[in-house]
Amino acid sequence: MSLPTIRHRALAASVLGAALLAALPSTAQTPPPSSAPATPSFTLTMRNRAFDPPSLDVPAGQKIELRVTNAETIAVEFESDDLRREKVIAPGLTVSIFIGPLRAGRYEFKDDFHSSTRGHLIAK
Amino acid sequence: MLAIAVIIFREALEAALIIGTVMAASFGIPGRNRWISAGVGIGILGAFIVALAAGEIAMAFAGAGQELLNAAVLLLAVGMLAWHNIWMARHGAEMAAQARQVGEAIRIGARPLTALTAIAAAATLREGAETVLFISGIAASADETILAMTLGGLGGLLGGIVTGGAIYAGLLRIPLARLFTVMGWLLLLLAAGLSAQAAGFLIQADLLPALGDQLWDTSFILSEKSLLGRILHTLIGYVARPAGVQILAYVATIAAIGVPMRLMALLKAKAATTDRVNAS
Repeated sequence: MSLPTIRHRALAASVLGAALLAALPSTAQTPPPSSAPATPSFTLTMRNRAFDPPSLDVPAGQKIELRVTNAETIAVEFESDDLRREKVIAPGLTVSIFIGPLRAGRYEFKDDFHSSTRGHLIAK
Repeated sequence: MLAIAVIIFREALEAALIIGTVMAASFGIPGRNRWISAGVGIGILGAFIVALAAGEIAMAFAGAGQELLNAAVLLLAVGMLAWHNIWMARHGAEMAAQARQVGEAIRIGARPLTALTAIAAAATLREGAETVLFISGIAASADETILAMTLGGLGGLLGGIVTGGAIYAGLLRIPLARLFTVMGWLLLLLAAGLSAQAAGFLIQADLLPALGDQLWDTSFILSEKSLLGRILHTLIGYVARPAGVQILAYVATIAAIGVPMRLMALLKAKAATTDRVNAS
């Protein structure tokens, strides 16, 4: 070994730190300024193996929040290939899923644990 | 039953692919089976704990708990892959030389075996927790008989393990002299892909800006949900519709691990030349 182990370890540690920092560049500055417009929020309930409402109209071109409630008695997984989102929801919980800014169009979603349970949203 | 098998297969696939790749990358390291198995065990135990506490985790950190946990577990794996890779860039050539001497034990100083344990644990934990929640839901809803549930579950798990085993066997066809170099680059892309996944979770929790929700769409060429798409998604981080910040995370991880890897290899080459000059 031509390099002392300590230096080697320190390098590995600093690389790890750098990787973490690189992946999390802006967490420290995330809280948006209070002047920023509030993110519009839409609610969606999963009950009796269906989405309520089954179709949701949302604005295109801005970030939106989906508030998804699992009113089933078992866990569900909200999943959307179109929106590129997935979130397991324990029974009885309401969770937030942030999406967009979307281009205008139709976006399918489903319960990945019971894939016949489907819905969609329309961005316009 | 088939529906259960398909879901379990998908959950098991990512973990099996990561473990198969790490197994190939640590080929010939004594004790690596024990350390990787310990990681899988820890991951399964952790999966049950995470599944039991799913509600509490989801509500933690103002509702961002699940995404933060997923991102943290992914980034832990990225950090461990970085450690493993930079270490291997320094020692890989010696290991390849020794591994060629059949029956010769490989003796090199401290090895990053704990890194292997952590990578295996991280891979098992994330998908395992979802599997536990899914199975317990099926059991509670009584939609399926216990037999169908067991057969479907085991079939899906077996399918995942076979795919992971096939990747392992395929990677080991790489000649030993080149195996560690190729695996170094493959693990680099794997780590970059995991970083991009972590960034995706942080966007979902509104902790990172998307910087472009969808910069391009190659799903008409290769869907991320096809089997090949899923395999490439895990192994090299293929994303059909990436967000801007995911691409940033991918490139930043390649730079943060790849540059020290190259430096280590260059330092080593230089040291070897100096040794030869001194010896003559």
